[in-house]
Order: sequence, then structure tokens, then C-alpha cells
Amino acid sequence: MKLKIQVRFFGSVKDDAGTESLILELPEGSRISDLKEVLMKEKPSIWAGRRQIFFALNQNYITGDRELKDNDEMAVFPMVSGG
Amino acid sequence: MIIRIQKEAIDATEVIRSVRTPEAGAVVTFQGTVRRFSGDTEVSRLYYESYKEMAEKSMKGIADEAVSRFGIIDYTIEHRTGDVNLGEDSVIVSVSAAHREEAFSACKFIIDRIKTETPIWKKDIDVTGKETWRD
Repeated sequence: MKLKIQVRFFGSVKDDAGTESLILELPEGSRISDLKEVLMKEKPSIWAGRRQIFFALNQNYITGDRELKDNDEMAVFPMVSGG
Repeated sequence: MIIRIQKEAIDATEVIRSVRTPEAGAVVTFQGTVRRFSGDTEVSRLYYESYKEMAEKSMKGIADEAVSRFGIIDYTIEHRTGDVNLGEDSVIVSVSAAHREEAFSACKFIIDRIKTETPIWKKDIDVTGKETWRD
């Protein structure tokens, strides 16, 4: 069984990714670090020339690594600049 | 205790009214407005984008922390998305408390944390129409 992970992009990262979101299929047991590796291969442009990039899993900032679950939502975005 | 991410203009009078209560001796409000210059760039408007679900959760967490830290009575926070023109409010934070000290502290605490944590992004649209993300 494969895990389906929705990846959403925001701000300038969305422009660099060329899409708002994509669905990645990963083998069961995959971790956040595996997903990041796949993203680096699929969308290297989002890292180009960027000092910092942020990740959130199911609307929470990610601290550390952990196993992913089917239908998890990963967001990828630059430093926030609201206000 | 209202949190809103919205395309519509902010009605500051209505926001302030929403936090007023006879128990409060102080209402403090911060309004973030679109200013003409961003560094050397002359701005015509800003465009805001949010990760709405996470931004609402983030603001709620920050505001609830302000309630427990400073003992404020009520708060309303609104943030615009989409185009916001020069001079318009992009964000408003209004809090009520028994006394001014906790109202000032809580209002500053909330806006400072929103600016560093809440997933909202803006880009400048300058007077020539050129768009630049500010991140």
C-alpha cells in the first residue's frame, strides 16, 4: 500500500514550484525526510537561491522527523511576511 | 474572541466595538496599514496570500496564549488577503482588558507573534506594476 501525501506550496515557493499543490505517492513507512528528498528531486527550483524554507505537516510547523500517514498534508513555504 | 482572514476591507470601528465590555477599563488596537515605500520601492498596493487553515489556527493559538499570559478579556484579529491598497488596513488586533498595561502588552505580543509565525505572505506591487514577494 502506498501513502498519498498532498503537498501544498505558498508564496514565492508556489511561483517557483509552478503549481499550487501536487500529490506524491510514497511507500508505507516513509518519513518526513523521505518526502523532502523526493521533493528535492521533483522540484529543485524551490530551493534555488533561497536562504530558508519552511515545512508544516497537517498545519503544524515540523520539528524533527517522523513517519507519514496516508492523506497527510505537507505545506512548503518561505519565511512568513504577514502584517 | 474573533479571528478572521478575509478579502473584505477591515471595519476598525466594528472590530473595536466587538471587544468592548463593561468589565474592561482599556481597549488597545493595532492597525497595520499599507505604506507608500518599501525600502526604495514606491508601492501602489500589496497582495497577501495565506495558508488559511493553518493561519487561523496559528492566530488562535497566539491569542489564547495572550489571554492566559496577560488575562485580557476579549480580542478580535482580522487579516486581509488579496489586494490591499495604499493606506488601507492589512491587519487589525484589538484587545480589551481590565487595565491598560495588560492591554498594551497583549496587543504587542499578538501582532509581534503573528508577524513571525502566522503563515501569511505579501508581495509589493510597485507603481510600474512590478511584483516582488517580500520574503
